[in-house]
Amino acid sequence: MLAEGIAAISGQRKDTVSSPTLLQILWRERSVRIGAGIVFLVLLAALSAPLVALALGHGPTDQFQETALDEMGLPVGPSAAFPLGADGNGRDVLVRTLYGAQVSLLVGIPATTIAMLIGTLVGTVSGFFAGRIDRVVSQGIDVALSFPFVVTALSLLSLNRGGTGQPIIPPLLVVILVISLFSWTYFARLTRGLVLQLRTSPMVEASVTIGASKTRIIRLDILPNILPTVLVYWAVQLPANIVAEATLSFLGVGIQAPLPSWGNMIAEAQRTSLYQDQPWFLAGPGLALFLTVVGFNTLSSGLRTVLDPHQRSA
Amino acid sequence: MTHSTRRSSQRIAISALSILSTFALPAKAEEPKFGGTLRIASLQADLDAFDPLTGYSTDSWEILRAVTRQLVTYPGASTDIKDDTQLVPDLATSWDVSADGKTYTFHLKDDVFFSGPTERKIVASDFVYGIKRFCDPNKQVAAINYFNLAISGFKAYCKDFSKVATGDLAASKAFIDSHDIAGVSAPDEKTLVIKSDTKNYDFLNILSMNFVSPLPPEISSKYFPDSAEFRKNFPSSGPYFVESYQDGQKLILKKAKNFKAESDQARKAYVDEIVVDFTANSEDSIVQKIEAGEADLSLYLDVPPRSAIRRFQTQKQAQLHASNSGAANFITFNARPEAKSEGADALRKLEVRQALSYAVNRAHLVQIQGGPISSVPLSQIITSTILGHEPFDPYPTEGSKGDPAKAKELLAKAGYPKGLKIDAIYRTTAQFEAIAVAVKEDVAAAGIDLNLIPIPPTQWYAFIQDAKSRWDISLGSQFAPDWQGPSTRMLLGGWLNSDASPCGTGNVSSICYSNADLNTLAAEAFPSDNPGPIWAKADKIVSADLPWIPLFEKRKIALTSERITHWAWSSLAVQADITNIAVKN
Repeated sequence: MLAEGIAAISGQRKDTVSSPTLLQILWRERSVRIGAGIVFLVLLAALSAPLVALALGHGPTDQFQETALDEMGLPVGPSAAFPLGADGNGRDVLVRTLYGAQVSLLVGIPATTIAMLIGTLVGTVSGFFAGRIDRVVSQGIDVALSFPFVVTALSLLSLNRGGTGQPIIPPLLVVILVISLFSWTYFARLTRGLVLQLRTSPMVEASVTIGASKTRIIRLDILPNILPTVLVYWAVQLPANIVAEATLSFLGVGIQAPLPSWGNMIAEAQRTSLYQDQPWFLAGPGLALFLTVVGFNTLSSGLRTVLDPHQRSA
Repeated sequence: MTHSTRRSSQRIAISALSILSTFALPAKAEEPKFGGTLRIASLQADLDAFDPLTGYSTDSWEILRAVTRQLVTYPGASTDIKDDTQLVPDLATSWDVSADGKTYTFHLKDDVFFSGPTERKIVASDFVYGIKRFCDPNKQVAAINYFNLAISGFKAYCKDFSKVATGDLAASKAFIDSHDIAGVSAPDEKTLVIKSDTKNYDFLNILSMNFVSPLPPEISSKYFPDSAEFRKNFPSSGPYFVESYQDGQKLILKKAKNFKAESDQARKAYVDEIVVDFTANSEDSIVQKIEAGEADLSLYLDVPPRSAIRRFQTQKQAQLHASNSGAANFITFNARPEAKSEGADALRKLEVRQALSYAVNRAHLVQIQGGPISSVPLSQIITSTILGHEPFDPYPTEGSKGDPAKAKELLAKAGYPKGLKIDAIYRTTAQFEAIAVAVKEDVAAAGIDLNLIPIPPTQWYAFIQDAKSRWDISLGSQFAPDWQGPSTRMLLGGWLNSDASPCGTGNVSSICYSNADLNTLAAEAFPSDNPGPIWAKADKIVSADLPWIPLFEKRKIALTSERITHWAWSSLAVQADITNIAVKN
């Protein structure tokens, strides 16, 4: 049903040239505007990190024990030199938070994209071929879904240690792979449902009748129809994966010190309890994470409202 | 045994009394009351060891003090850890020392009993069994090097014992029953004789460690050393016994009914119950529990969070106890012959080690430990509370801030003009991560690039002891004196002495240091009546050679709840003496 709605929208767009474009329709939706605005800010923050670091003269791992820490090692609060204060090692919290945005996106975007590619492929195969293949694949998805994320991720990441104790694969890559390993299933289920409906639609039946090959049907009939929904779902899954990265880093198995990530910054502020003296040590990365999740969630819910006719009418 | 001189226990009793009276002074206004429960919040989810055989961390010793007694011990001090150096009789009433100083004959007390799974009287053969158990192939005593040097025939006995198959309790028991250590015997129930091949000025100190505790063979031989079953059925010789033990949850110690206060001049045993809670899992939550009054003391909290130190210092001064401890942090090198990376090879050159010492900013490290209240920069092997300490800095820099330019120069001289890449491991706790990150940043200025490798605390020793592990330096190394004062043997005669700690499995931190000059001086110091100057000389030689890079000496800071009415430090635990602390009740 969802796919039909999308198909109807795209069909409508092709037929009536004078009616507003998809972008214009989207822009009319308030949550899309707000969401896009916040997401734009997050992207800007990530991109501006080196510029801010340059302007303040504080690199993301530079430590300023003379100016940012007192004699007892307590970090200074917000000031002109350190807009969000310093952390326990005398590093600039603002600069690290901005670099943290880079890391979040650097992990979140590839992880979600890989998950989307795998999930769509598996879901399409499962939905299109149906029958026995579908049953086996669906069972496989159920099994994959039944693994608890944190426990499995922790064990996978600790397995990533060769005989010498050094990581076999760079930890950043493992984090990306682990997160995509846990999010492809959502894409697979979604795609499978969509494809299952499409394969019995008149459009596909017509293609079969004229003798189109299976790959041609998938490429020309099915994929273009499910793509908008899958892309919306990409935006839904991205913030969840950013949080997953923060979770792993918080637990000490994700991004490693001294590289800044929101997860390990929050963990550091909490473990050292320095947030009690310098609340921005915790609030900086905490708010950034919150804002990012809110931004992407608002944007994706707006997109869904526009692209899903059922939601729109409700 | 030739002519023997009897050492009067009276003299010791008098000196013990004088100590007792000095630390009783501040508490004069309010005499500590007996009773109540002492609640301890542990940062680790379980005790790292709970068997006199294996306990070797200061935290395990803190708890073991309540459930074990030794031949001689320290009475605790309310003033400072370094004041707790006077040995007093514990389970022994008195002892004789032979003229050559090599044989000690201990006479045991009459009214001392086990508690927990058995309540029988403690006899001399229980000590003999405890010592025979030291080299059980299933689990070895944690600091075997002391006993290799101190007890006659110990090495030979262990060599035979090592041939016994592991995993077989009956085989271990059969071996212990049928073999004797030449230097340890119990001629009767109340007499214990321990012989050494050499005279050792610190012989009694060695026997004061928790390892040398009596154990009833009929109970202990039923369980593997330090196994979960052993822990639950711990045969206690101390004032408390294990009432219940759930790892990861709670350990409850209760005062033993047959503990006679008059038979123990070192442990007052004020509280009726000691409860260790293992459920708090962060530094922050421990401090919160203490501040909220849900816990009275912490365990495994090496250095409290900086913000907590300041808060207690400014608002709850009476609940903060600080003392010099002689404990220190340092950077050790992977000196195993198996380590052949570029970094490990480079560090075999003195100039590179000197460069690293110059590159480190000790003032910075002191600051992130919480400032002068919690630590001072350290530039030598022997720390301030240990015999032979004479302040010495072979590579001084202004304000201990390091000298990157000089470090660069030395690196270039050693053949690394373009700098050096080193793999550095650290423990993933807030404290060690802060140290690791600070050192990485500081030495980068000298062209040394540290590749930080995080190791979870629970895997730390296994990682270091695995010869296959790839690491060049350890940023997580630390030590606390085994006892205060004449414990120089631990470092200069133990960890760094290749006669006592040859490179191999027993070399806990993979230090693998060998220095003939040091070994000669140590051999000279052990039987000496005045070992201080010899150790001072050895310290100068070794500190300049940098077998490790000293960073800072820690002061022990204990944060407590307001329920504690009487405070005591313990020499062995290098922190609170839980058997001499009293609480409001």
